[in-house]
Amino acid sequence: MKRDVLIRLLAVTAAALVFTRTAAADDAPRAEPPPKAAAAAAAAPQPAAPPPSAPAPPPAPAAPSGERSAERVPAAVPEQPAEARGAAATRKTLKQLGDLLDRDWKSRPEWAEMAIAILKEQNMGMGTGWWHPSSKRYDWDWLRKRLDTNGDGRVEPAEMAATAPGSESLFARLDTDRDGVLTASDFGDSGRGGSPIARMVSMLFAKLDKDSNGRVSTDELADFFVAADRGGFGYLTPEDLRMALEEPAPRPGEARADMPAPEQMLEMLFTGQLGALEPGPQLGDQAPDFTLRTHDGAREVRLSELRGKPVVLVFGSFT
Amino acid sequence: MYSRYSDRAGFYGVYIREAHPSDGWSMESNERAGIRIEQPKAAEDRVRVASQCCTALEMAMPLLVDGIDDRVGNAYSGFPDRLYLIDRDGRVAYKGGRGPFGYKPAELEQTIIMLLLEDMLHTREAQPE
Repeated sequence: MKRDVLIRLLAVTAAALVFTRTAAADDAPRAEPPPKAAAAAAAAPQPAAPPPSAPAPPPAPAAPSGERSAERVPAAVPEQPAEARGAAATRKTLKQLGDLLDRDWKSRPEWAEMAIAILKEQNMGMGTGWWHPSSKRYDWDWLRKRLDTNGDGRVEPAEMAATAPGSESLFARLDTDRDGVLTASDFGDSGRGGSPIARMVSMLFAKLDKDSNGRVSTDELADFFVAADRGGFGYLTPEDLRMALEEPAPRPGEARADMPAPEQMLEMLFTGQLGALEPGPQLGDQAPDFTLRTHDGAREVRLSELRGKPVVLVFGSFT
Repeated sequence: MYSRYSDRAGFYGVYIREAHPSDGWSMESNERAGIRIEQPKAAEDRVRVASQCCTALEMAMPLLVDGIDDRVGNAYSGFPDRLYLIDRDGRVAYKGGRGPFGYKPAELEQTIIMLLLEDMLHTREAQPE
């Protein structure tokens, strides 16, 4: 399986290299019908991306500014360092590669999904791109077929109680939008955790929970208040709250903090720093057995010995 | 969730490799919380960080520590975070998305509830009145 991953990686890398070489030649003519001279310049392997109105091939007059004459940038075009143009061309190439892989590689493993998301520079965020969705045995349809006995498209508490006695306490936990009946809107991304307000709440919570232990204490609440009350007035206005919660916008031209460039991200992906490259068991598969010790060494747990009771596994680390 | 369902399901944390160690893809949010952790290189380091984590996060559920070869984390594609629900026959009933963005405890809870419901329905079918 590791070997398979490596082979695919090689294929992707090779493709990336080929594209990087040819990108510059491809890009300029597509932007606008080029004058003959620009087409000639574009056909040359260097420079990476000629400006749209690039003059004839060398020798051209140096820019009057006197900076880096080797670049042959006409005075009218703003100065752009060669490496920036090279990086922009690489980005564009990687995006093209991402688009192509996305289009032509339909049945792909999760690591490829991550690679493509990186290539396409998709936003990493709740519910957008990048992360493969979960797979679950039960959904709204499953529930409706079993519990919607009168077939009206919703499950009322009485229906659930009649079909599954003893389940009363579970009803409220399933009714995520708290309208007193179970419908499709209680499930999937429209349910708990998926609504805009839920996303805002998780953002607010993350801001409040300074030590990230999943619990907000009175002290943390007080610290947040003091920090948000910039004037020290002893109260908060909506504007104070907004300023305290909203991340500052990245400076123009700067990447998001903590977010490496796509090339670095790819390297991190294939060195296993972004996520395991292995697929893991699929829905309905027998869960791979393992024996591990608890952190305090007190006992050893063997998964297969836990049969007879459902088991939740929570994979994660400190950071 | 642990306290709500722990009588009806087993809950285990599996401590795997660090997602944002100070010597890897470090994160400002960790620094702000005063957390600086190097990627454990030996089994006993990993146990030590796992214990630190358990104390700091006041974890109630038992925390299992993966081998330094990441065998369990890899077998389950667990890195950096992932949730699973395994049914009573040892089959996967829920495979969460990869964290942090695919980490959806609410989905897991729905699946736990419906797994319990299914058991109730079966029990009822098995012994009518």
